[in-house]
Amino acid sequence: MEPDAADDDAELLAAHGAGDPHAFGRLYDRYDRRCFLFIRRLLGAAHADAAEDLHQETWIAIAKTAAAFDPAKAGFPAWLFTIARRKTFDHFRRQKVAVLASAQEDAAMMVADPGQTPLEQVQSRELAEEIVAAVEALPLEQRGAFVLFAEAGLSLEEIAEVTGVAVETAKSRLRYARAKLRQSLAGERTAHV
Amino acid sequence: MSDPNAPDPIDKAYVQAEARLDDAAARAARRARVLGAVAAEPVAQPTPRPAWGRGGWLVAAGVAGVGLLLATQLYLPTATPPRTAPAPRVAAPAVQAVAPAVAPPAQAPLAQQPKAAEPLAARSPQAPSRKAAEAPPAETPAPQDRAAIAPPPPIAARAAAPAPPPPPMKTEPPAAAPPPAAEASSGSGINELVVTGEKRAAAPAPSAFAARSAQAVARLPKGRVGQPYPSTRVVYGGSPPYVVDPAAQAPPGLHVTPSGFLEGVPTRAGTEVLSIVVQDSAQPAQTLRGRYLLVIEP
Repeated sequence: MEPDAADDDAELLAAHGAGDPHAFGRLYDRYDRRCFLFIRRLLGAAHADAAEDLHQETWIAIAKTAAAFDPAKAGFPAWLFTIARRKTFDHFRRQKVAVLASAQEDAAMMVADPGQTPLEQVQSRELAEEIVAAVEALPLEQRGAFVLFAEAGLSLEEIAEVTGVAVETAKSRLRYARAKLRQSLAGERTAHV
Repeated sequence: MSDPNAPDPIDKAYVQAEARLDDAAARAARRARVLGAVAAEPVAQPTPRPAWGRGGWLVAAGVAGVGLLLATQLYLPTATPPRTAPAPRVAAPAVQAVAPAVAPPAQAPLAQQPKAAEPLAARSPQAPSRKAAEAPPAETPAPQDRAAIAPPPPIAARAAAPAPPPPPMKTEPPAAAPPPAAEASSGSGINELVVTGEKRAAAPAPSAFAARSAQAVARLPKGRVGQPYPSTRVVYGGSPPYVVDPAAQAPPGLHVTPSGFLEGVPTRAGTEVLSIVVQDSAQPAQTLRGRYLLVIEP
């Protein structure tokens, strides 16, 4: 993430509140893709249709509550992804999707790490889809931690803040997610080869 | 075990996969839709943040609660328990003293007032309110005093009595309640009908709330120095004409008429609690009291 992005984010949000018609667009462009991918991967393939709406709801919530943002309490990315995660979980609740408790989820995903897997450049669309499918197959909280770290660029501390857990828990989830991905992708590639 | 914060090839592979699957056209369409929806929403204005922390909000909530309570006491007319001993007054020195109270021996109808005085009658001792039960023991009327007070007058008596015009109405914002002022009593042996001044004819009806505001102070219309004060009724109930307690003094330039109206031309600016104590013409005479917040602007 940019070194001074936090300051810029707060300034853009304040400018939006002051009536600057372009400030929100600049802020949106900065996080649009990361926010959408986070929501989309959390939803998984079964709820992919809701990604657009939840993404829009998240940004509307950001715009409506811009005055409540306090950069002294949290950075803008943490605030944004907290709202995005809440919107997604609210969707799961509305759809009565059972979300495994964190402890059960983490215990279920304690797999043997196969070690570093030589992954060449992801050049084919097929391989890219395999990787994304493997990510979406991760347990929900591990999936969220992995996407926030790898794609959104959040630190472990920020992930812990967004997901409301201790840093150690966030670290464990990320570790389990990576191990599972390596295992899954190693099997996929073996199968394809 | 590897450091989770260290770059991992699987992270890079995932980022590349997402980049490979990125759909710029879909992203542009999404951007237009989201920003359009945001533009349709009203812009949230930033609110100045107080220097206090969360504790300050608790304090502010407490202050607001106290303010609400005081405002409630200002606007809800309630009965004031009779007192048995004279007490110092808060009202300003009087410029006009009325004849001492006289208690004629003959029986007479007690209440000859129009409908505006009904809340007072409703709170009379024969229909004791919750306030009387919740009032401090020292201020609670003795049971024999309650029993001695006569019931409301017959309708015919009301119709025969001269009905003074209703007081002028004026809407005033609530103000901070002044400190309670003790009132003088006309003496022992007199049945007291507790009276509370009312701000307007459409004063709030008696309620359970009124029971908690034994020291309620009604607010009078504002006056201005050198200008005739709008004649405002300040005495309700009982049988006019009233005799003003000499100890109950009105602000300079103002006086309470025998018909129970506050009139005159104020000569001094200020804000004070005006305690009005009169005796009516009933037999035996009743002491009627009222407490008002009066603001005279310069």
